[in-house]
Amino acid sequence: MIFLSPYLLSLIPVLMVIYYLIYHVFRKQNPIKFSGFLFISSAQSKKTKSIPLKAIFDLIPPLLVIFAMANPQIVKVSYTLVIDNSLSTGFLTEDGDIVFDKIKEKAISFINGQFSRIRIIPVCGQSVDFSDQQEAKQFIRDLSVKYCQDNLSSKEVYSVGKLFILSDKNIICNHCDFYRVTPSDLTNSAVSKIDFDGSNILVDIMCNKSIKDTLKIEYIDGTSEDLAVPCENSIRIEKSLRNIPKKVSLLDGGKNKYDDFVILNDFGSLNYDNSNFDFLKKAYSFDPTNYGLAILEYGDTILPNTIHYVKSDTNKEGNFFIFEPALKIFIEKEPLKVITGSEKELTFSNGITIGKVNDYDAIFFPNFNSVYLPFDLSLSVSDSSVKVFLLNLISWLYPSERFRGFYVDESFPSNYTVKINDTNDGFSGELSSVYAAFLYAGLIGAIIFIVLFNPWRGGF
Amino acid sequence: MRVKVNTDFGLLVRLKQKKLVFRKKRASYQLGFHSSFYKGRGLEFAEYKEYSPGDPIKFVDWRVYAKTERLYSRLFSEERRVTIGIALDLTGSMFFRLSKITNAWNLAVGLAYLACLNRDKVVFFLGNRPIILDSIDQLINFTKTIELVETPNFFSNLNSYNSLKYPSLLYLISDFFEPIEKLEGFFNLFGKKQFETVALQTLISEEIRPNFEKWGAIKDIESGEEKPVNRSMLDLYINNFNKHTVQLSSLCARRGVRFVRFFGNTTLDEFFKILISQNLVR
Repeated sequence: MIFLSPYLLSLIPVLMVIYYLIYHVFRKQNPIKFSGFLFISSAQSKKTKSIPLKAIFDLIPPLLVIFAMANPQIVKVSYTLVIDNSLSTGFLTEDGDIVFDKIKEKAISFINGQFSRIRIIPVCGQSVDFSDQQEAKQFIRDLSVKYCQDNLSSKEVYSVGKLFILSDKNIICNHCDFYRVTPSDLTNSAVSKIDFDGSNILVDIMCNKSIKDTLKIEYIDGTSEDLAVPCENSIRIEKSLRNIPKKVSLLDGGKNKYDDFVILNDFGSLNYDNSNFDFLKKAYSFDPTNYGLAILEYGDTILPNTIHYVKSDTNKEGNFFIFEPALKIFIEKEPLKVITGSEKELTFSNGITIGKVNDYDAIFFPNFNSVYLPFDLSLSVSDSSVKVFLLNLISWLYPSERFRGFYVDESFPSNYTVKINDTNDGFSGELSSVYAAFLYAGLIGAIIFIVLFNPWRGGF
Repeated sequence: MRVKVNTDFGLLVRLKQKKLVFRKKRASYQLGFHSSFYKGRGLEFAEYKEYSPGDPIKFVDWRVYAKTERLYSRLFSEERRVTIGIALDLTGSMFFRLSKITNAWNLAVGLAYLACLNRDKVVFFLGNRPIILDSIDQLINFTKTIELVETPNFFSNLNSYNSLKYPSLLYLISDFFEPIEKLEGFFNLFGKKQFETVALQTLISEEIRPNFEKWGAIKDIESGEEKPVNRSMLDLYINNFNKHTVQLSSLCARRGVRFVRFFGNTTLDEFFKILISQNLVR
């Protein structure tokens, strides 16, 4: 609630001037000529020196005025909302709604209140600061349940203002309020591991109750297969593949609808949307320090099982090194470098066509951990669809046992109490720069006023 | 500031039987009514002196000769006239109210009159230049024409008094509204001289208890500096004022200066009674 504008603080110097004029100008009209002035001036100087506390007390009235005017502005607060969008919030509530939808609903109700700044920290995602209500609301609406390596307890919460945590878990924290939405049924099944060797696929499925699932395998040619999977605790499905798999899904996989499918590959199309991309990225953890990938340059015609000379004729060096910070993919298999004017013989044997881009093959060479891309990567790497392509490529290149599934805890939550280490101090007020400027101007003005004129001591 | 004051001649008539009292005998060569340390002709016997040829025969004490068969001459204290200094403070603070400067002036004139009655020489300090009065006629004429003019630096002007010959008594008539440190320096200077000093402080009631609440603001009558005042400052003023008075009394006692306060509500007759009680006038 705002009932005084910070601009009213500018009235303080004006009031001081008026006060000064009243006492200085009007009383100056008829000062009495007095012989004992000596005793007044000496009394004053002595008093100022001997009773400094009095001077402090003199400061209290203008300070009270300032703070009385300023205090209403402090109710304009800052919030930090931590929104749990981890996989466990994909469960259903008693009402049949998804937990995360209720969390979003509550989060948006916070946004409707008065605030000067709000920081939204999704558990799976980057924190963003907002000062505009509509932008903050839209950000929350766009949030979805995701799988990520982060979880609530490991999340670093650098909050501003009052901290609210919205989650399906029970929160223990130092300075926060939390809103909990409890799921009604934790019955669930999920893919926990996929092994893929190019011709066969092994899918491990976990379930916490007896569930009849359907495993759906979609291929890059558009065809699909459905396999009935009666799960009891866990089950391993082995299936020979007709083609390169594109997506593996669990149909009717328990009460959590957000952990039921896994995208494997999609080389047939580059038009992936980012949501799928994100999901894939977070459904599996890719450790970039142990695995690398070299990308050969565009322009070299490479066919499988041929000897190829990588040479650098003019000022061009073969550089098979990729670092893409935006993707957080660090591909640093020893780069294949060719010094200018020299050449290097490479036998591109056992090349596997892993996809087509504009009718050109994308070929993987396991011996070199290299892949030939039929497009200029340096020009296209910022393209979101290329990012998706590369990620899918990586997920295909490395057998899935190299990926570790982190989502088991989230899909089958057992410990529902989370302790948060937050840096929040519980103070919800925040000074705007304009308000602060006026406040400090008022304070300094009041101090100067007292020091120079000291009205309570008969200054002027 | 320039003020025409009215001299209270009635007071002078009432003071006709009074005399100034001295503690120290210091006199000029001129004859007068005050006994001096000079030995010779006079009315008051001082001592015997063994007769030597050339001494007047009429001063030989024949009774002593009859007893001792030796000749002794009687010596008397010679009566000489003395110089009385009367310094009237004419700085701005003395002009705070007309009654204050009028009372101070009539006090000065009264003392000068007593001095002239005894044929003493009066030196008036009313500014930068001393004014010498030898007789009552000169005093009366002087008071008829006097117009008091404000002068700065009362105490520094008094240095000219040091140059006078045979000073005996100096009356300082002032409110002594100066910092004690400054007064101390002044009294240190005068304390080395062999003459008697009497400090007469003249005040009026408004200086003892000023009405700050009503006034609102005051202006230093000398420097022109202004300050707002209120009731809360009155206690501080009184406290400082009393402290100044105590310090002044103490200073005078240390320097051998007799100090008498002349409050505003006291009439001149009453004040002279106070002087009599203090053995400054008889």
